Amino acid sequence: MRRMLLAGGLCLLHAVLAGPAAESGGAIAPFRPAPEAGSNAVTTVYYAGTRTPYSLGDHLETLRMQLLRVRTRIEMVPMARAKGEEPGSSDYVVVFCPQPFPEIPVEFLRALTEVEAPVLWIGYGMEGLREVDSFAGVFEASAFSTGASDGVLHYWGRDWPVGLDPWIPATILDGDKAEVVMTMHVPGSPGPSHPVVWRVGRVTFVATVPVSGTLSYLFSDLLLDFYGVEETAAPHVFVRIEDYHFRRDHGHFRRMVDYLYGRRLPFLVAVIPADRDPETGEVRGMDSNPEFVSALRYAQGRGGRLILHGYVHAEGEEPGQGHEFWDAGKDRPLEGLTPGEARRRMESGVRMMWDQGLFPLAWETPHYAASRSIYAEVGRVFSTAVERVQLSDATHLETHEAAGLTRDRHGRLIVPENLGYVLDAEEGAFEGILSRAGILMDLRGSIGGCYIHPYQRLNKLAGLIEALEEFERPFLDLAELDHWVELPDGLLLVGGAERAVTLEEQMVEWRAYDRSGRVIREERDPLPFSGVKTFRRRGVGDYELFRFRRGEP
Amino acid sequence: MPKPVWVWVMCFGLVPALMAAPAESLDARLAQLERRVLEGDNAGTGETETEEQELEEQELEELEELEEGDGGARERVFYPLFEEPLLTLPGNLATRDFHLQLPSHITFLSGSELRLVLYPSEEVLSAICTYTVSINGMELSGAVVEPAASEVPDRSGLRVRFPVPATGLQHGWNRVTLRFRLQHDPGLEAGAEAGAWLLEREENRLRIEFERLPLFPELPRFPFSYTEGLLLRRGEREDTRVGPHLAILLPRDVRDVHLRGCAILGARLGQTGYFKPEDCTFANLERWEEASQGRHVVVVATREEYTGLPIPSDFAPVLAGLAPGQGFIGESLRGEGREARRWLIVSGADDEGLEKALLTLGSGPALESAPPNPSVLDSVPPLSEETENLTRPGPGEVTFRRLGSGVVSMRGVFESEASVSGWRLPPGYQLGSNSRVTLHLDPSRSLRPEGSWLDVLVNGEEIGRWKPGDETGRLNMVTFELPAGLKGRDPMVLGFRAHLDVGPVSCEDEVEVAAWLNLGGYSTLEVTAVPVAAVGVGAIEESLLRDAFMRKAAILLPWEPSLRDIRLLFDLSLHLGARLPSSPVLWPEALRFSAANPPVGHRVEGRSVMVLGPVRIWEGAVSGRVPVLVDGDSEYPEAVRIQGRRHDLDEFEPTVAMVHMRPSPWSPGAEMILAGGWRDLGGESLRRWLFEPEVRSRIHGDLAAVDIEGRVALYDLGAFNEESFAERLKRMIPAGLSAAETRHFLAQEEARMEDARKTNWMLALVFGSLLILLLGLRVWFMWRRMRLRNLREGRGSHGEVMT
Repeated sequence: MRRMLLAGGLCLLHAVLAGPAAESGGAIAPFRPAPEAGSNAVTTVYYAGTRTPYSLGDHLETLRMQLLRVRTRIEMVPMARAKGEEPGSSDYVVVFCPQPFPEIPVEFLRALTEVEAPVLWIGYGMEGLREVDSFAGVFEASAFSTGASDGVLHYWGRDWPVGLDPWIPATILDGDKAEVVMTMHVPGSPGPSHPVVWRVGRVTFVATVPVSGTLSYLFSDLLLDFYGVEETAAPHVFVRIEDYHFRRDHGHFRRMVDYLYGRRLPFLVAVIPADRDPETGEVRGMDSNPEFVSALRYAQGRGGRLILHGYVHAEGEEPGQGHEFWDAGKDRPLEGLTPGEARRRMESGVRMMWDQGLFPLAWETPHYAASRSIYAEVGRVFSTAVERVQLSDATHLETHEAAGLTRDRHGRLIVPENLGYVLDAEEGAFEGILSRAGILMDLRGSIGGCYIHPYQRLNKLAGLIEALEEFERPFLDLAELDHWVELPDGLLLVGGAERAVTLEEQMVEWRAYDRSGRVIREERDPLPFSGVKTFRRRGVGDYELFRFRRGEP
Repeated sequence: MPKPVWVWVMCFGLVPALMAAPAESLDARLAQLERRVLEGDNAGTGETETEEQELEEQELEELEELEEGDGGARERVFYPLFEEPLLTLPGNLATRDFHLQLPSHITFLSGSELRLVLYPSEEVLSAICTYTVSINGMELSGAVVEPAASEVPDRSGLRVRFPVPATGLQHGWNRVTLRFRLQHDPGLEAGAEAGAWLLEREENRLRIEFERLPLFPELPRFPFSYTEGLLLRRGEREDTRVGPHLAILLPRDVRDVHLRGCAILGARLGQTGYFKPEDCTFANLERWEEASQGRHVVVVATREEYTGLPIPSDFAPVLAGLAPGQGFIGESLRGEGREARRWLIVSGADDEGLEKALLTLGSGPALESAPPNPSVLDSVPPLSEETENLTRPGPGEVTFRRLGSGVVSMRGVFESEASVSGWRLPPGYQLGSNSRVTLHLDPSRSLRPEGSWLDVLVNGEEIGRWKPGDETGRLNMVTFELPAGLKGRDPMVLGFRAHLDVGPVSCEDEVEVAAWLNLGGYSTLEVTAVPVAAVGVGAIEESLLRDAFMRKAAILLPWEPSLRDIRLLFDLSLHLGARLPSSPVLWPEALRFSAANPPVGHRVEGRSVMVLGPVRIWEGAVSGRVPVLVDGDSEYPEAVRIQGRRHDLDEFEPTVAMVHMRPSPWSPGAEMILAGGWRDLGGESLRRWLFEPEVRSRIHGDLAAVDIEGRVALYDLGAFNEESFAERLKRMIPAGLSAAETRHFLAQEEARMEDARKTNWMLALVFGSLLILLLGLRVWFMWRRMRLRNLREGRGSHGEVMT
């Protein structure tokens, strides 16, 4: 009850501050709003390092994705090159120092005080600003950090239980010049609250490196203020039925679909389209299993938005059990798997789904583990991914869980799964999900995504949905966003998506489908076309599929 | 592996105590228990009554605690393991499975429990070491041995409670396995008296703790989503049962399409196997409010017939927008929480549209591929070739492996059972000649030939026995011929009953390591199937179930049927549907008829037809295209014509229902069965013929009659008959006599006939002998005259010329 009141209060507060969620600028606009400087604004990131100490992840990539929750262009500049740069030419400036004692040119520090653009300082190196007039005597920050695993952050009028690591101790010396945005208190300690985020003029200081967990979510919310965003969408939630493949109980899956459809809730289904015969090793396509196809059609017609989840999602094991694009044992890219082969699998999966009147709107990497080269291939086939993103090729153990829609380095729209999954346990099966949702659903424009496996009993799904509905947040319908899926011989457009494709003497067949996969209208161009052609939705039905055929009309 | 504590408690505590009980006492107890239960007199002794009261009070208290502690969301149900009031198991049993069907709309909670009370005979006590119990393959542990419920030795028994984890139970079918471990006394020869276990239905129950899931529309699970609530009532006593579970609402003026709807609904509901006629009520749409109280509801009506019935707001515009010929199926919920009930609206813009909706409802695949709820249906659902194949017998040769059984294993001393199903021989077919099963046997080498065997059964009928040494070839194969003419059934079950003896064993021996018999997955069924030829009026199922989708069955009702008539149609469809549990599609036809409105040809062509109506209107059904031997007389309403002669109805027993089989006038090779009473559809008498196997098994021939007391009169038109059917009817079912009086009368008649036959025989013997004597004399005289003539003429006695 308390949580609902709090959620309602925050929702009201957001509504007063942000106004109604605008849908007019395209479906994505509310989730990825434009900054105050406009959607062509440039954010320059000066970075002194790319990762936090003892980490193999690429936290610069994390920061990029955090910043890209607004529609801005990012330019990355290493601090070593900052001496000759002019920070004032950017619309927004971010200084990223994930490790202690960053080497920051003095000229850069001085120049920073003169820029008119908002500046965001993240992490270490703030002690160097003692020598800068604008900040001297306003605050004092340590060059070192410590950690607080059970701190409570105070932000937006609410306490957020969060572990803070690293925590760079700081003191506000002049409260008139510094506006404290976020403070931390360690329960049981007698001392006052400590500043974690504060603002001095146009510069916002963040005395931590917020690359993961709750802190990352709060930082994402803070970015909206940094960018001066006024309009954001209401927080949304989604549920994904995970690892749905040949060998699942299709009757039970239909019941899950019926339950969700009965409540008129859209949902996602992560589909593994092929299966490796355990005896012969032969890979069988979904056309060999009519019941599987029928169940997917059933789901698609009842609010299920399909996602391609690998091809067989296994190397020899049961589908859904193994890594398909990563060597988990050695924690490195899978030997022998070329980007071309990965792309061939993706295309094969998409094609076999299209042939059955099934439309995958997005991609999900099996076990969220793939190398950059594979991600790049994914980005050429799918515009959207529903997942956590592996941060580097050094390990698959560090991924980024965004708080809302964002884009990755390959231009993919990332719809984040960040709440976790329903445990195969009788008690507390979704406590973790609700705990995270309790945070995310109180943040502006956030998306909380979780998943449940189709082997779980229906009461688990019902319990999860009822618990999520208590947050009184809408469920995300993936089909309301813009997506394209491109193959050499076809292009799927959803929402307001458009895509330029190069054709070589190819005929274009166009078909419009409704959400259940039924053909509404179809046309065929009279002549073959060569050259670059931009395809746009014609506004018929929900999905439009262009197939490119070679040969005479 | 250490033995569970309870095993030792049982072996060294309770069992020895029971073994010490005098043999007379045990026998007396078993006899008393059997007698008491069979007589249905549970209050026969003071102790029994008190015990049952105590049990009920204890359960009541537990339930109250449950509701206080959990806000009433948690519920409890007691499932008996078996249906019979008293079950006797052989004392030499090694394993026994019990199957329980649990609904899908509940969540199992912790706290469930299996209670077993086994009464062993003295012989069993000397042989039993221990027993274990498993649910769905999960062995149960942590059992608690209860003290005997009574000080009276006759009420002693092995009383054990097993906690059942929530994860051990599953929706749908659950298997509870009792596995007995026996020792074998060297002095005890095979075949010696093994004793028995006795189990009472009320004492052996699975207590399930559960919560209900919220209801939500789920059309693909029809009809189970509408019926499975009944499974929760399975443990209820008859006197505490509430009324019908489902209401079917129809417009006041029903047409053919509504009748077909009732037939399809009945057939589909019958497939569940547990839905009984009394679980459903029929009402006119005007009475929807009263009829729907506390029940799931199915409404069958066209759009225009929904007057006064509240339609869900999201259905109304869809219904209103239906184009001619379009059908509609929509499922909604009414009420909240435990009061929530399903409402299924089956409709259409017109009769054509409504029929499309009904055919969709009659097809599982069609419901799965129908548009989202509410569904608008543009066409009759197509049947794929794969679905169509299910109406035909399975492949001629199939291995157990392909049937999904893999290796069939039987273990333990002595008796155990196993079965293989999935073999398809629909009810419209029977086994032809040259059908056989070849078993690949893998027996333990420790089996003693003299005490070990395997019985093979088909649908419960024994077809052969194997004993060690009977197998042939390197592959240990043995073949059994399947009986030609065995009628198809859904499901067909190949059963195996093994008796495994490995010689003397003690409780310390790992006997299951030695006593086993496996049937390999490549064991093969070779089947030839031929269509069943319906013979006589007793073969209604063979006649109406020629097609596993019931597309070759049509049921005709009088032109203006009452709800009572519709009820009979529904019950008959329910009965037929129960014979086809695995058919994904059931599309029986049903329509009205009268003399002025004979059945529409295309609806009855190619189908076996059952005409339900009073005999006086039978002629109206066939319009003179086939001679009907029993019919009304248009000039005399109180008379009937039988074989062309008029008889007053007063001459006959008034409760008689007549059944008459004729070739269908609409389709060569198909049958028509006409059934009904003198003035109505035959009431309870007809129901006895339709639904009581014992009564129907006594009925055959082309023409038959049955009355409310089960008396029957049979007539075969193809055979020589000394009397007319009317005479036989009056003789076999005399009016005004009870069944006992009739039996007495017929016995007297039979005795008189016997006397007459004896007299006739004596007369025939005497006069026959006299005749033979006269003939003999005549021959002798002729011979003598010829001989004398020959002598006179100088010839020999044989006519040769003498020289």
